[in-house]
Amino acid sequence: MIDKIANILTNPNFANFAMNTKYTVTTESIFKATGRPAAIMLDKNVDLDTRKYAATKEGLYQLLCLGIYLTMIPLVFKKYGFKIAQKILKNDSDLPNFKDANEYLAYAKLASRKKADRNDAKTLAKISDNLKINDSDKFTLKEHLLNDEKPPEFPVAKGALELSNLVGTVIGLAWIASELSNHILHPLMRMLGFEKKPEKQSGININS
Amino acid sequence: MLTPFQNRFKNLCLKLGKNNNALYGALTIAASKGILRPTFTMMDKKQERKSRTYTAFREGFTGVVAFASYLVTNAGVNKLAKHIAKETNKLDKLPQMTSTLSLISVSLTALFVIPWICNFATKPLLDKIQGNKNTKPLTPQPKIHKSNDIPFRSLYYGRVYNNFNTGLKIGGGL
Repeated sequence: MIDKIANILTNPNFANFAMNTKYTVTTESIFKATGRPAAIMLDKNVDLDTRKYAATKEGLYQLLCLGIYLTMIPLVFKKYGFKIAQKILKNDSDLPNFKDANEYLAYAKLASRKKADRNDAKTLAKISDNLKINDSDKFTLKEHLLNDEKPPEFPVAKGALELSNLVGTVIGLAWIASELSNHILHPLMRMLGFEKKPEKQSGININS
Repeated sequence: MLTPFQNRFKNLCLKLGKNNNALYGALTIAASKGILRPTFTMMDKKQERKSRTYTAFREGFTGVVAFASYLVTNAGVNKLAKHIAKETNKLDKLPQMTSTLSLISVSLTALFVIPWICNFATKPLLDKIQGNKNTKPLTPQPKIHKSNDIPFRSLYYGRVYNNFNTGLKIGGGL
């Protein structure tokens, strides 16, 4: 039994998923989008209308934040985070001169496969023909991929992407997505019949 | 030759590249939302001060609960992963095991533990703080509203839901 559990836990697909910040943040947000509304609906001390309103709003908020975050990650953080890391570690052989994050990801995808399975023309085409670890290396990264049993890995490059995603979590998810979603949330709630268009009036004093 | 900053940056990237963990993302969200959301709430001058303080407290408190919950559950994850790796003679695969278990633990904590703690602790704690300040406590109103009433307000788990032009925001939760 414990062996089966260990096999599941060490399954490369699960392990890779669990080590990817974008996937883990997505998973956590989906659980929050379901767990929080469920917890709200379970509270019998509050009337049903209020629970429905609160649960819908909470679920929508979490999903909106996630959507905005996932949109921003490839457009902003993956693209620029990787470039900034390359600038910081310029000429370091642990982070070769990939033209962008996608080129590194294509390389990493092939490097993780067995040698016989690496001759994937579509993915290979994404890697520059003359890209080398550094000038002193005789072979290009493409040649390493096709000829080596264990081509070089670049954990620093992977870490740079994860770091970009973590920064994206702070700026994109906790800040921008939170603010943006509040503007989208109310029209959505109106569409669902939970809110009406506001009339001109002053704010409510909760202690009145 | 790398500068000290470059060295630190490289080591950080190396650590994340080799052994990234779901815990890092969860802690980042908890800390950043726990700090940023109350800050933004307190900066929202459209809202009455007491409401701002209340909302900011709830958001900050949720951040603290989330951060602590993730740390506590992850401590259990590390022990469990070590135990499984030892029993199955797969100590070399310990990082993968820890990462996968960490993701499971973070998900379950977000799904059950944090909402449960917040449900039980936020309102009594807030009432206590407000009681100490001799302010009128926020108490639920028996028949609150029909779903389309505008404006409507209600207190839910110590959370005020009102109409949208008052500046109070939902989703401070982490």
